[in-house]
Amino acid sequence: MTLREQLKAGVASLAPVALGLSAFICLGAGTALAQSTPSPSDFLNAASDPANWILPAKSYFGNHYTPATQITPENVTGLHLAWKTTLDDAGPMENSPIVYDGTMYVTTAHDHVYALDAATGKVKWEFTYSPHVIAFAANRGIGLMDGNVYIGTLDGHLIALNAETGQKVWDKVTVEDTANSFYTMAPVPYYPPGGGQGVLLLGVSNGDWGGNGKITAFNPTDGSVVWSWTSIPGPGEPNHDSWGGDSWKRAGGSMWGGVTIDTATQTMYLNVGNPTPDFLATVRPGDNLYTDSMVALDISGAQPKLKWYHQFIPHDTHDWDPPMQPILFNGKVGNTEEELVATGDKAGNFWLLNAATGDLVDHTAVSFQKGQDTPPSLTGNYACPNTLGGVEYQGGSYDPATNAVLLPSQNECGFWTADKDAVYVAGQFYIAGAFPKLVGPNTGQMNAIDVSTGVFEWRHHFDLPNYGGALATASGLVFSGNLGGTENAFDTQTGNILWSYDTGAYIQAPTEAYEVNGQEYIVVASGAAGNAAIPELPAAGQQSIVSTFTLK
Amino acid sequence: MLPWNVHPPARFTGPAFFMAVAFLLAASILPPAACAAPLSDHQATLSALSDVQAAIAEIVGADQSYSTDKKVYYRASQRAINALEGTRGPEYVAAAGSAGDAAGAIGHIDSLLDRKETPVWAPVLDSAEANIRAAIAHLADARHAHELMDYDIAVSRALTYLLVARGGPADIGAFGGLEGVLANTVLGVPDGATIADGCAEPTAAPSYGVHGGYLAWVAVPAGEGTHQLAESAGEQSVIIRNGMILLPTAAAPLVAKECNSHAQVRPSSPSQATATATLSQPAKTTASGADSAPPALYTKAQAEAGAQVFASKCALCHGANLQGTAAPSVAGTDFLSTAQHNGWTLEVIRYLVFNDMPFNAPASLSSTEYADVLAFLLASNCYPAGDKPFPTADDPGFANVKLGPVPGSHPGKNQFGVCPDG
Ligand code: HEC
Repeated sequence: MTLREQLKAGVASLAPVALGLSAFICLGAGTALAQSTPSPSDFLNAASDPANWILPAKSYFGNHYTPATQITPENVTGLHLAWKTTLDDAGPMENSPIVYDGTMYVTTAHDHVYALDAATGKVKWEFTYSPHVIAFAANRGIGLMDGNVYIGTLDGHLIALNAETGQKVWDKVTVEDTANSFYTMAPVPYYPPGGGQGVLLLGVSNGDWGGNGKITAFNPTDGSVVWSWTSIPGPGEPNHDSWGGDSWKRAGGSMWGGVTIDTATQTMYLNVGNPTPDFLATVRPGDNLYTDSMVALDISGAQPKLKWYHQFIPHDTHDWDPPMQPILFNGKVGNTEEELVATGDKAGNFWLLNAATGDLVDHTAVSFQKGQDTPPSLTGNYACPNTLGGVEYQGGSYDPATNAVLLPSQNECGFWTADKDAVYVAGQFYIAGAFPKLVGPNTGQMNAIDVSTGVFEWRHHFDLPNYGGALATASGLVFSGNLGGTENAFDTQTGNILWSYDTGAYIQAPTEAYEVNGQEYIVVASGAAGNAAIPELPAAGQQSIVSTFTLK
Repeated sequence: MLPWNVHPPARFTGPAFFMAVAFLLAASILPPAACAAPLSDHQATLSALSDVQAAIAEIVGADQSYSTDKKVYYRASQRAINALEGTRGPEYVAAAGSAGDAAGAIGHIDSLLDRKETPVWAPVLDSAEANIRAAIAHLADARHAHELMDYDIAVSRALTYLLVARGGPADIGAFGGLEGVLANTVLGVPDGATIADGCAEPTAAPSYGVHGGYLAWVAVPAGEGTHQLAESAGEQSVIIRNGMILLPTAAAPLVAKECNSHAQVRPSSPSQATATATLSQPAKTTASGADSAPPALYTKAQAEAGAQVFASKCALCHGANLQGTAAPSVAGTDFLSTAQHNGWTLEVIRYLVFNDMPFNAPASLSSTEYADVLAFLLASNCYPAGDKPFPTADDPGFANVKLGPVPGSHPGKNQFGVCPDG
């Protein structure tokens, strides 16, 4: 090699940057994709596709599990940052990126949408928005269908954007009461298996603000309502008598945690949020159905029909709803294989149900629990976990190789107070008390729970909460982000941490895997701590960041 | 208000992007100073870099000459050594002339390292110097090589060290070597340049954002025509806003980590342009907003004390400029028109703040602190100050004080209507 070649070779380390930039120049010309959004069969087969990640929890089964196997326990130490893109919005990052055909769609706290080149992180287009924030600025992602990107916003709009350009196609206010209702959940595309009109499934966030929970199937062409289902039974409906007096009118029960669907039977599994007012339960006597429950809905007809419900916490007094999207899987219990559905709640419980009947199969306490039978009082009292503790929304995964559910949990305690009476004020929390004051250490765990026995196969304890959900890989790894900002890879068998990376901002978003040009990537978003802020958090940047990792 | 857009750097690419160092280097590389006055830190670093570049050019140039005359190669090695070592080095031979200046790269680096404190850039310069010395050792061998092949091996090794000393973007976007310290630390800031707090956003361009010895960003004026931009040091974004082009350096995430309030100084959410269709526009008149002559409910001193409380207890979620980051905005058009639309009274907000805020530690402040922070919120929303302090106890009259846009014009800061006195 001549010196000049050597010099060039030396400069070759420059190439990724330089090429990236020049590739960017060409973007203006627009490279049209043959098909910009997934087909109905792509959605049906989402679980077995190692390349694309087209539903918030990988597939309709709610299982954050990838068949991709390039990254293994043996080579994971060689995992390094592939790219990192900082997005121009301040707030917590809670989104599940959607990756299809080399493009990644991510959102930020104030409903900005970015289409990124999944191999380089370069911004292909962006959509910015400035919604009025009712309470929490956060967005959990987009839905991709029929050539469009769909986002539900903090000011109650459902917006369709052209998936290739980011141009607005339509924009409609789809909540009923903009004073107390908004969207944070990612709209979920669903095509009935027999053909027919596809729909977008979207639950409204209004529970803690004095609304009643509702999940709606919207027509993706214009935002019109195909059907909707309310979680609080009205007069004349079964279980209406689980609400004393008029308390059912402002009752909570939001369904904003994501939908799990058994496409074979067209059964939708949904978790229903807490009852309101959260902390003064005396004004709502009864079990308060279907709050704090999992419901199974038959969605094969024109209107969903309730198949079964399983209430985890009757008459909740502490906002301990199950925010986690249910995981539907075939697992071994004893020696028999069963169709199971698993979830967790903020009271620190892991629940395993029979998917066909809703009967309880097993229950494991995953967080420190204390004072759970005493409702908050006027002068206040302690209970654990607090509303940020237990199992949160980011979800978990089932690993068939070990017959284990991988699930993070938090140990956080709180001091709770209730008010004398419950007063509804439009646009304010309808909680009749205060969200708990943090007390004591706030820590987290990563758990592997044996489905057969309900006993931990292993637990890893962190000094900080571990909100990042769990991504299991077919190669035997579990990825999860710690609130402090570190993304970790565990050995699924042993629970040993094999690899870590500090993203530089706080992680509250789930981890995902995808492939571009045959190369496997891991992605996680991080940002401000926001309402999850705790005193012991290390100082970190509050920028909104998307980080991806790959092997050399 | 200008949308805060991230733009592809493409619009600005020119040759500048392919030069490893531009704008902050190119714009300030001056002819080698012939005067006796010591160079500034920035100039010294630039000079060290140009000496290293000159040494590289010298040996690569000889290689390209395909000359059969050994002396061409020997001379090139010596001229490269001279550029690296300067006139005071043990291997310096004046007769060959120098590809660089008299101080040489090592002379410049020594002048920078020769100080009591240890700046953030010192370790990088130390390692650059170590690599330069290794290169010199191989170049000294090259000078005596008998065969061209031996020469090539020695010079090739020297070149490897010199490329490390020079630095360049790595595949993960960070710089090393001299280019690295110029791109990511205060050494990259030219003399007389406007230096700003690297934890904050730029308010003028051109300017350099510096924190703890690191260079966090470079701001250049936007506008028509081409710009000589700093190499973006591998960062993925070029941000355009308020008529400026903002280039975060590779050190930006590190800096952001050090100043954990970094993102809070960035106004974000509410803007009237996309305000919700259902919200009534802020009233020009007083019909259902604040009273035509809004009451004076607090003292100026209270509001000033309240500003401190807000900064330490509330800004984390509501933003340093009250614009709302993780939680709603609490001042300005968005907040006041929502208050008006939902019929909030001062009693509603007083109750919420005293009992529910801070969200993660309700009722944790003293009643004086709560009264002060409410005074600050009123001031920020353009309610007038008076002689009577905001009470620490509840006042039944607050149930009659409707909140809404305060009549009159309030240019305010951040274009959010947040009152300038707030
Ligand atoms: C950990 C995050 C957090 C902190 C810290 C915090 N807040 Fe809040 N704040 C919130 C959230 C979330 C809401 C929305 C409550 C609701 O929806 O009713 C809110 C609402 C408000 C509101 C009503 C605005 C509206 O549109 O609903 C005011 C006023 C307010 N906070 C003031 C304060 C003050 C003053 C402090 C400091 C003493 C503070 N907050 C600290 C999270 C926070």
